[in-house]
Amino acid sequence: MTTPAPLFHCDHTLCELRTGLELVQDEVAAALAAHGYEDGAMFAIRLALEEAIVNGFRHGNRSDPTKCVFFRATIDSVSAEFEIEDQGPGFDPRMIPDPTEDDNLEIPSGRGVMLIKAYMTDVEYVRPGNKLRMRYAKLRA
Amino acid sequence: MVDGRLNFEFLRGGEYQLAAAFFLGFGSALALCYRASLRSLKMAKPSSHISVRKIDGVTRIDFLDRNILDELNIHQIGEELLKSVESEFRPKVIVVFTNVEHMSSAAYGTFMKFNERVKSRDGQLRLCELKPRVYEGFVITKLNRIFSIHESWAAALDTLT
Repeated sequence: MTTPAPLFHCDHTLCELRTGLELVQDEVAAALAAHGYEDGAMFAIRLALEEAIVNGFRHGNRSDPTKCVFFRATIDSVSAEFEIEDQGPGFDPRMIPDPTEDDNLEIPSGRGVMLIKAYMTDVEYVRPGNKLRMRYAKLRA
Repeated sequence: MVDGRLNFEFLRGGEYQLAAAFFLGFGSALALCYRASLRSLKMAKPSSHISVRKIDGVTRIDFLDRNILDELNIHQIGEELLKSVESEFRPKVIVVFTNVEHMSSAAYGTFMKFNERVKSRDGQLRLCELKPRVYEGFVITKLNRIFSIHESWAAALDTLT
């Protein structure tokens, strides 16, 4: 009988996009692998993290180099939970135009949130909208 | 050298001026070369992210990166894509995704701009050989309705008119 991997938890303050992303993606990938997540799950989580952290820096903090993004993750063999918080004023996700509507289809931006919602099991924006909580359930019913 | 002093006796009259002009000119040329080489180092073009080949009138574009995620890379890829058709009228372009394993939303935006550029030149753009997960992203965002996506290079080639 193998011993289950211990609960993974991390808490980072990311102050630069590229180095922050690399740090987070590497740590999360290692934790997911240790808990037996399949390639498809790792692909989905990697993409959602990329979109969420880039949005935090670019749209939340408006690329202000004095602002950071706070990242927390908890991963076990059942689910992977993430919290990404920026230092911006927040936003109302209901105000983002649906990029799949015919009229919006040719607009080149606005697909990040959509991809996050498609790939993660639960997605929640905490008011005022500068904190994103998302969860990937490894064992789906 | 005599008694520790430089001996310039071999230079006489106008030869002093000639020698000075030679050394000044040579020094200036060296300085210019040095500055030019520094400038070329600073302005060195970033390494390419795509390979562009012309095959029987069709532009074939392959990605050299597995991941089209990083925003800086995506910006460079966008510029390289636009450059690949800048001198063409009615370009026929097939973008081959064999190597691509990840794409972010910013990359979709880049391809949409490229599609617009090709269309504005009365050209045709086809995408092919997408891995299932990469294709899934196009389906989720419904961009498979905007782009002409094909399983293989040959299938994409067949649709060009």
